[in-house]
Amino acid sequence: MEVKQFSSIFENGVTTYCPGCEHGLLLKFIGMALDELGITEKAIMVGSVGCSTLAYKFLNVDYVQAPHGRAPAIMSAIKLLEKDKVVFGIQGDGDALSIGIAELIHAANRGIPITVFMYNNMVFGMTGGQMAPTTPEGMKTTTTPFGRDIKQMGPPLDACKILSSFPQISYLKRVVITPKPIFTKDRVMYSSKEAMDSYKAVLNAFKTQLMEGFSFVEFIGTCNVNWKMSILDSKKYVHEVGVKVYPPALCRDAFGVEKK
Amino acid sequence: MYQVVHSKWEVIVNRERCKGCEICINACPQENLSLSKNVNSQGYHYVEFSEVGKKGECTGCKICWWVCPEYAILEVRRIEKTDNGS
Amino acid sequence: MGAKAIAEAAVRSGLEAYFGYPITPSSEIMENISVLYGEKRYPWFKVFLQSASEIESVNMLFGAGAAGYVSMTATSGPGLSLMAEGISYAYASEVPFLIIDVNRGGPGLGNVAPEQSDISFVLNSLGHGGVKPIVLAPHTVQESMEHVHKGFELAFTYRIPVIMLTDALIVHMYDTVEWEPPYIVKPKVEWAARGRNYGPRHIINSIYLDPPELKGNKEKLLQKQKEIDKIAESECFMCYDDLDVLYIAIGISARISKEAVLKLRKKGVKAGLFRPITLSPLDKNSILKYSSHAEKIVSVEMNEGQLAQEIMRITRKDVEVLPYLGGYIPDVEEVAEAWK
Ligand SMILES: Cc1ncc(C[n+]2csc(CCOP(=O)(O)OP(=O)(O)O)c2C)c(N)n1
Ligand code: SF4
Ligand code: SF4
Ligand code: SF4
Repeated sequence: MEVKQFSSIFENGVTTYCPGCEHGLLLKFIGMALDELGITEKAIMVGSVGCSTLAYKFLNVDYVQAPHGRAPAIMSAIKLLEKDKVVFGIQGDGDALSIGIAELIHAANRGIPITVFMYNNMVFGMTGGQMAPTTPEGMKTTTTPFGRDIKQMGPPLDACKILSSFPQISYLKRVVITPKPIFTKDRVMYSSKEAMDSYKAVLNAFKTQLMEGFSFVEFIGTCNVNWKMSILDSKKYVHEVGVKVYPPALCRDAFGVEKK
Repeated sequence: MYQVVHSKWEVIVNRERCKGCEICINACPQENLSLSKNVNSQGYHYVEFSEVGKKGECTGCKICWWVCPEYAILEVRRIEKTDNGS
Repeated sequence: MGAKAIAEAAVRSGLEAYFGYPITPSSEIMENISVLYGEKRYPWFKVFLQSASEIESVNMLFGAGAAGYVSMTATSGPGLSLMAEGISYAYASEVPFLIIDVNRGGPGLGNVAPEQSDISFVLNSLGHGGVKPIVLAPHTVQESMEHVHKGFELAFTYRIPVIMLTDALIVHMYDTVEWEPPYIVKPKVEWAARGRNYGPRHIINSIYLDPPELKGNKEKLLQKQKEIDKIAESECFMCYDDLDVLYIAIGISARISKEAVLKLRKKGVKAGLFRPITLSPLDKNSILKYSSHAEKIVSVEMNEGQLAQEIMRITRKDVEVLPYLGGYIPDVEEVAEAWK
C-alpha cells in the first residue's frame, strides 16, 4: 500500500532542527495546510534568518531567503506584485521582534495579505541561546547569565499586544505548540491538543490570506538545546512559565475563520 | 462458513527522518512505540512500531502522528486482512 | 528637470514597482514617479509604495526582483549606507534592481549639496562579503534617462543590482533632451520566484553552509563578472593625439571639465577628458591607452580623490587630484589652470 505523502514536503527532506524542537512541528503543519488547501503550487515562502532558515530543504515550494528581520518587507513586495499567490514566512522571535520589528509592524499596519508565522522560543536559537526581546524575566541565557533583568532590559515584548493595535490585521493568534507533558502514575505522557490547535491556527492563517487579509500567528515553543534542558524539562518550562508570560489568545479574527 | 475481517492499525515511520526524541514514545497511550537498537544514517536511534504495545493494541488514535516534530511518522492507517473463517 | 526626466524614462522603460524613502536631494525623483503611477498609459506600473526606511526599500526591491519584476528606488548617501546589507544579499542571490544614488555631501549627515563622495563606497564596499554591482555614471540629463533604461536591461541580463551614481546638480538641472525611451527588452524570468505552478521550484538564496557550495557560488559570480567586464564603456573627449593633460571626471565634474578642455584647445593646449560611462566595470583598456599618451593626468572630482584612486590602481601612474569638497562645484577656470 502506498504511503500518503504531502506534495509540499520533500519525500526525503530531513529538517535541520535539534531533536524535540517544535520548529519542525510548525514546518510539518505548514506543509499539511498547503496541501489541504491546495495552494502548494502557488505558494512562495520567504525565509528569515534563524533556525528556520533551512526550511527550504524540507518544504517543496518557491523560496526567497531574506536578510535577518526583513522577511515581511520582501513578502509585502512579492504579494503586491503577485496578488493571486500565497506568500508566507517563518520568523524567529529575534528576527521578528528584535532586528526586524519595524518591517513587521509596517507590513502589518498596511494589512498586505501575507502570513507571518513567528516561532517564539524566547531566545536567539541559531546563534547559541542569547537573550531575545521575548526572554522572560529571570531566564538565564548566554548573555544574561544571572537572568534577564527587567529594570535594565524591560519586560518581554508581547507581539500579539503590539500588533493588536493595528486595525488592518485580519487574523492574530497566539498558540502554544509545545505538547504538554502529562504526569501519570507510572510515566510522563504528552498531549496532542497543542499540536492540533497549532495546525488549526496555521490553516486559519492561510484561509485569512486567501480572503485578502494579513495574518500573524505566534507559536510558543521550546529551544531545549539552548535552554540547556532535557526535552521534557523544556516542555515543562513552556507550560509552567511560558504560558504565564504568553497566554494563548485569539486576538483578532476579522473574517470569522475560526468558526468556519 | 463466514468471513472474519481482522482490522488492525499500523503506524508508518520514516526511519531516516526520525531523530529519536522519544516524544511519540511517551505520548502513545498504548506504548506501541519504542526505540530501535539500530541507528539511521544520521546516527539517531529510530522509532519502531509494534502492533501490540505494553498496554494493548494500537487504537489508531494518531497522537504519535500529531506530536512528532519531524514528520517521521508518516501515516497511521487501518489495514484490513480478510480471511475465511472455519 | 533631471528628476522628471529620470521618472519619465523609468516608467516608459517598463518600471513595474517603485519603493522609496524620501531623502534630499533624491526625493524629486520619487515625487515625479508618484505622479505617473496609475496612469492608463503605463499598465505595467503595478506598485508605488513609500517605505518606512531604506532598509525596507531595498528589501522590497529584493522581493520584487526575486519575483522577476522591474523595480527601482532613488536615494542618497545615508540611505545607501542602510541598503548595503540588502544589496549584498541581492548580489549573492542574483536579484536584479536599480538604485539611483543622488550623491550629497558627506560623511555623516553632511549636507544636501552635490558631492561625488560615494564613489569608493559604491565601487568597493557596497555590502559585505565582496560585492560588485554594475555602476553607471551619467553626466547629462539625457544620459541619465538612457542609463535608467540601460540599468534595467543590464540588471535583468546579468541578474545583478545596478547603481546609477549621480549628483544633486544633474538631478535638479533643466536641460534639453531628445530621446523617447522605448520599452525595455526584458529577458525571460523563468528563474523568478512566483510559485512552482506545477513546474520545478525556484530558489532565491544566498546561504551555502558547506564551503564547497559557497565556493561554487562565488566562482559562478566571478565568472559572471568576467562577462560583465565586456560591457565597460567610456568616452574620451578630444583625445586626438599625444596629450599635454588628460582630465578624468564623471557626472557634473565631467561636464564642467569638457568646457575646460575646449578652452584649453582654443589656446593650443592639447587637453582631453576621459569619462567612465560605466564606473564598474571600468574601461581599463581605454584608460590605459589614453593615459599612456598623456604628459599629466588630473582627476577633477567633488571629493578628496576617490576616482583618482581607482585610476591609479589601473594605470600605476601618478594622478593629480583637483578636489572640491563640501558641496563646491568645479570651476571651469580652475580646472583649465590645472593643466600646468
Ligand atoms: C544583520 C545580522 N545580525 C545578526 C545576525 C546573526 N543572527 C543570526 S540568527 C540570529 C537570531 C535568531 O534568533 P530568532 O530569530 O529568535 O530565531 P531562532 O533561531 O531562535 O529560531 C542572529 C542574531 C545575522 N545573521 N544578521
Ligand atoms: S537551536 Fe533551539 S530553536 Fe534552533 S533547532 Fe535547536 S532547539 Fe530548535
Ligand atoms: S496511533 Fe495511538 S495507539 Fe497507535 S501508536 Fe500512535 S499513539 Fe500509539
Ligand atoms: S516523535 Fe518523531 S522524531 Fe521523535 S522519536 Fe518519535 S518518530 Fe522519531
